[in-house]
Amino acid sequence: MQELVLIQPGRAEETEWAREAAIAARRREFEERLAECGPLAFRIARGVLRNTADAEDVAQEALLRAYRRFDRLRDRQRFRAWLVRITFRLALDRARSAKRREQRETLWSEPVPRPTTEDLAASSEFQAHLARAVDELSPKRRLVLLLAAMEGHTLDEVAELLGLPIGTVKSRLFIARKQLAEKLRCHVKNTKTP
Amino acid sequence: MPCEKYQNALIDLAAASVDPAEGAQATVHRPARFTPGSAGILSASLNFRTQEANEVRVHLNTCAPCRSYLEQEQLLFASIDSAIRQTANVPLPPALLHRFQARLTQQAPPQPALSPSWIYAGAGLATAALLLLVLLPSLTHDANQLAVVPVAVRQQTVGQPENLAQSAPRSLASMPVRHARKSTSGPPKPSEPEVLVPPDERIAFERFLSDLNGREDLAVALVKPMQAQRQPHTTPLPLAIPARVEVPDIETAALIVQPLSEIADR
Repeated sequence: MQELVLIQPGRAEETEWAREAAIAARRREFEERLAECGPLAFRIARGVLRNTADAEDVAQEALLRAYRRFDRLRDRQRFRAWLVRITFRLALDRARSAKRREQRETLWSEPVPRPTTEDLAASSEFQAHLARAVDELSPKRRLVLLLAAMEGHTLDEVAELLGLPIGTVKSRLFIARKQLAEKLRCHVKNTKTP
Repeated sequence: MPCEKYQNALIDLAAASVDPAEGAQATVHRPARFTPGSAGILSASLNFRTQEANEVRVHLNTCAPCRSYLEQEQLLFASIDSAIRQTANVPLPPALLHRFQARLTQQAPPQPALSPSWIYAGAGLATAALLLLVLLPSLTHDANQLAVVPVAVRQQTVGQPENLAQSAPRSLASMPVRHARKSTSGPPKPSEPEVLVPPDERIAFERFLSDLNGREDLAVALVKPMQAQRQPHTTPLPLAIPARVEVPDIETAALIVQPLSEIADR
């Protein structure tokens, strides 16, 4: 018994070393996936928020959440789809809270400052209308629309990312584009007609 | 203005004819254009049936306003796709991944997930604790009842309550109710004797045990008072009495016989 007590510290050290090795391996694996999927997370957040700083914030938050729960993900091949869902949800939350904040500030403080010339240059009138129309889409259609336009995804890839049948993806995309066209039709006619 | 009959069909056709995935090349200035007579565009439609598509194609070949409307719609969808693609594929900020990794380094390593065995063990413990909490009051109540049962049984079987009153520690009515559940009004009911073994079975069991142990005397000792107690009003079974043969007295017999013969003569 006495001998066992003397041996214990060595074993504890060994266990600690094994634990640290496992953590390091997990981190390496996660960093590989981060390099692969980080840009996608940023772009999804950017597509929802249309603001680079906010999008980076949200993407970081999503990646940290994914890292903290990485062990719970049984199928590691589903990491990309998992990250897409986390990022999209976080971005929507951020957009909603920003909208609420904006409404409060509009009510209680000075008028919102006018956009700068740079902002105006970055987003044309059509882009502004389009952004508003995209905001009014349902989240499901919005996500399909963004993913289909992002990083050259095919519809099959979008269906796989979202775990949906290809027919569902096609119909969501079709309806989303028709809704956008409905809202932007008059604007395009006005701008394009000489 | 397009023909009213075909307006919705032309919109659907325009939405389907500009592929959002391929529309990367299509811009506002260079949209995917309709070419009269080309079957490829029509066959790409999602909502079109063959008959409908053929009808629209025939109509487009003959109607210039509808053709123009279709081109406008295609231009619109191409613009939308192009703008969305532009928004969705913004260039990444420089050193984005480095910042991600730096943030990750600051983060504490995640706690390893619990293994299924630990989860099952925890669930089992929680269930056991819950069962204990639920059953504990009823168990204590049953224990109280069992402690009193022998006294009640003895009262009923022996039928001498005046002797038992001294040996019984407390009457049932004076026993406090210790369980937490709400009891009915009035004193608690005395324990029922049916929870114990009936006397017949007990006697049989005792006899069986004593037979097993080769102690017949013990069996008889146990059975005797029980039989007396069980059937006090019935007549006992005749016991086997050893036969006793007496030598007849011849004189007495003669005396007895004589009067009988006289009676016979009369």
